[in-house]
Amino acid sequence: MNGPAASIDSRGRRSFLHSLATARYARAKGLLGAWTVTGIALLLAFFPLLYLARYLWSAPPDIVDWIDTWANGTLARQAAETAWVCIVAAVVTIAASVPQAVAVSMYRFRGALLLEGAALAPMLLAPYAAAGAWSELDLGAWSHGPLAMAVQIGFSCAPWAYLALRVAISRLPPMLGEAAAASGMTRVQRIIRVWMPLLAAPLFGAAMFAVARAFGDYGTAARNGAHTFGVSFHDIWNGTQSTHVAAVVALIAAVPAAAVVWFASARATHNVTRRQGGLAGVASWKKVAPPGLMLPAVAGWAIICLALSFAVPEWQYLRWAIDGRWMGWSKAIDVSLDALSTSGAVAVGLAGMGVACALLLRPGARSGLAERSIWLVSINLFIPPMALALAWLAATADGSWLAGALGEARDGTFPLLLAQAIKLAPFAMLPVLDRVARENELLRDALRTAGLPRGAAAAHVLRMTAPAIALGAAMVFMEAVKELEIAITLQPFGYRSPALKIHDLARFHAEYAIAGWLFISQALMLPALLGVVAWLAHLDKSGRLA
Amino acid sequence: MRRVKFILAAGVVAALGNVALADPPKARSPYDGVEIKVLTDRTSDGLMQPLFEMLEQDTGIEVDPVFLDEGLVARLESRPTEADVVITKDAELIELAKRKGLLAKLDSPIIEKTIPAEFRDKDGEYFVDAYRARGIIVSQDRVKPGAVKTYEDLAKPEWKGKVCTRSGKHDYNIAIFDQMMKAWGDDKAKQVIAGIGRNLARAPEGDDREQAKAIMEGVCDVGLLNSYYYPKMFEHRSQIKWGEATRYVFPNQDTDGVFIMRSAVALTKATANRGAARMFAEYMASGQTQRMIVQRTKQYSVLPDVPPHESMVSMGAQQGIKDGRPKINFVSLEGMADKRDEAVKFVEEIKYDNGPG
Repeated sequence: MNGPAASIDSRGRRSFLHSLATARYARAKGLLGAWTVTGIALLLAFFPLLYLARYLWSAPPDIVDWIDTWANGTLARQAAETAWVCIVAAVVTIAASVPQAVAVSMYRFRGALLLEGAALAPMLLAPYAAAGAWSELDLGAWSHGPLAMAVQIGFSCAPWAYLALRVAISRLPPMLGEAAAASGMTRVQRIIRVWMPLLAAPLFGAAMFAVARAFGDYGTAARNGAHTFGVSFHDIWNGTQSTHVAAVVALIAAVPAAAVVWFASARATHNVTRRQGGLAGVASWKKVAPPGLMLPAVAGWAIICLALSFAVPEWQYLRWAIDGRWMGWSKAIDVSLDALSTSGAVAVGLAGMGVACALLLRPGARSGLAERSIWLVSINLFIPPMALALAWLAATADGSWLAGALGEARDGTFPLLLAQAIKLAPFAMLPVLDRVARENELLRDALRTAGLPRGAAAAHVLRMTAPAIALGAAMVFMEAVKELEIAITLQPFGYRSPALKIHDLARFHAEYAIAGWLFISQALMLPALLGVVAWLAHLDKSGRLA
Repeated sequence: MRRVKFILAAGVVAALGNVALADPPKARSPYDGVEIKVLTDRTSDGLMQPLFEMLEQDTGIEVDPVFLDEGLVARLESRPTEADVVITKDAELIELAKRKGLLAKLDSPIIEKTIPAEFRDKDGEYFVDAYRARGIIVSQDRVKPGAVKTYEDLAKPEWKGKVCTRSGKHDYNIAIFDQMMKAWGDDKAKQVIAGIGRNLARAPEGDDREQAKAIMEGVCDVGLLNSYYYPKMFEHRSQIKWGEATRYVFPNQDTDGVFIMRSAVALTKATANRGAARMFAEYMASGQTQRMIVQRTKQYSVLPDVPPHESMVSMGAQQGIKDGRPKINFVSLEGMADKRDEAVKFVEEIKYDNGPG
């Protein structure tokens, strides 16, 4: 073929090949960006575990003997008790959050803000502090023991579940429900066959967080006399005083942890609404008046949950505070500033990671293995925090390359910040991941095609994801204020925090003195919690999705 | 007006003159103004903070502490020269640290002179600053006086389902179990430990004081408790009833004596502030500090001339102990550390922490 026709054909082919190459280049660039942020996150998340794994190679011969003794000793009972506590904690987390989240997200009624505040209030109370109050109430197995521990852990995780569900419910596509109703499905059938699968991701995520916390926790378990994996790790480490034995025991936890996290990530990535990013963006749930007795039933349930998770222990601490002695403003301010600067730095650092996620992860249906792998940062929630602290302690030992790289920063708060940040990373990254996953995958292309400069396009993406980044930072801040077990081992000289003071005083059962520190920690967390409540209220008002 | 100005000016001149002619502040010690770092697993409230303040007042040495509670040896292993001084509530850990080569010699004639030999490391790397008895508490109502007089009694079948203790792998119980092994020999010690394990009323949990609470609640009749916890229960409103429900027994007073828990002081390999660190250690061994330790912690001083706390005297008097100091079955820290692994493994083998059944 010659002449103008051939020339047009050739130009068309060149243009097609060019656009194909451009698309491939964009895909490759997207993949590179996603794997860069995922790679960094996973490297940091797995660093402590990899460091502990080093001990397997240099383990002394008697380590097999120790593990054999443990495996034939108390391990079976501890495994059974851990499983029981994990299951109950997950059930309590779901039960104490779903009804409230459904009511506030789907229905319009007076007092919704109050219900929301009640659902989120337990964030202010660390489970180890709740354990101290309940054990003094002397209600037998209801206030002390594995069941009490599971309930306290479950309640402490319920606000996370509530937040995840609020966001998830607000983006449910109403048209699916309307279509299901038109096809003759009853309300119950719609709940089971339409809405439940759509909410599987936050439900599995919340259950996973509860299981993780119950699995690795030491402080709450010890105060309740529960024999869970976290206690087992502590006891075997303490008994042997061997980093090698501790490392092996901690690594044993990593295997089931990785399996659970991978399973939860599969549930999240198979979420139907995720594949309908644009669609869900258009359709938002219209709140209606609550049916019949639903509101009194949910209100009653919320009051019970609030009483057990927050009000009763808080009242107990208030009584102790009234009877107790004030530690003095100077001491209170010093300790608060220490905690504020550390927790603030952890939150700011992880907000930075959230920004990287927002900019580099691929939106909507374009996401793949890299985005799913981000979930693996949650593995550290399962590992006993003392094991994480031990890993960082060993990694920054005198003469290590990391200690050399850190220089004088090694002896300050930096190792503590790093260890806490890596443990709390899921709180900052998963909300952003969720938000990016719901973004229309064509949006960024459209912004580019419209000729928006790269900086302006990035700013637009950040504006969209800012609420999720801020939510993540607020949750990280609150968790960092309450964080205890890593701080015990990695605290620098002269460092103090309300959590450490509470732990110190708990060794004397000095609840009268603990109360003051508890309220100080709550005062530090309160602005962040109010910020979360205000953000949720704003979402409802603007009708925008999270 | 001129007169007022003159008086004011004269006043200012006089004040300045006073300042200029005043003696420079006297150094309180050769290490006045030196800051040392102290690594400890003891709590800040109670003894340590007031002690640091008293030290600064007397010597000018400032203390920058870290209160760990857990992982003392691991921290020391990781950063052997981070701190200048180590203080632990469980001296066995100091012996383990010594075996790992993490300590420096005290090289202090003052400590050698004042601290009795049995409370000093034979190689001069640490010393015991105080000790307490690891005794027994029994129910005031349900256990007759004299019914439990020895550790061996706790293993007798008549106490089946009536014994409460904290975890068998906690430092305090490891310490008593390895002392039993060293002092009595493996066979007898294992029989007693296994017997206590068989007699447990519940799976071990909580700390020492919670065993007293369990006795008050009727969960069990007897338990193990460090001596200083007993009077301390009467200082907390919520714990008075725990104390009132129980009676303290210094065991084995008619036989080989009670086992003790020791706290200890050592210097690390850090050399920058060695002189000030040594002065701190010597300060811990001084009569003034020893009296403070006794008053604040109710532990026994290692100095023979520092009398026990009045509460210890009164607890001892109920058993006919005259000077408040019970008879001790003394096992060296080296001997305890030799038996530590065996004790921990045995506790695990018999599934002590699983409790009854």
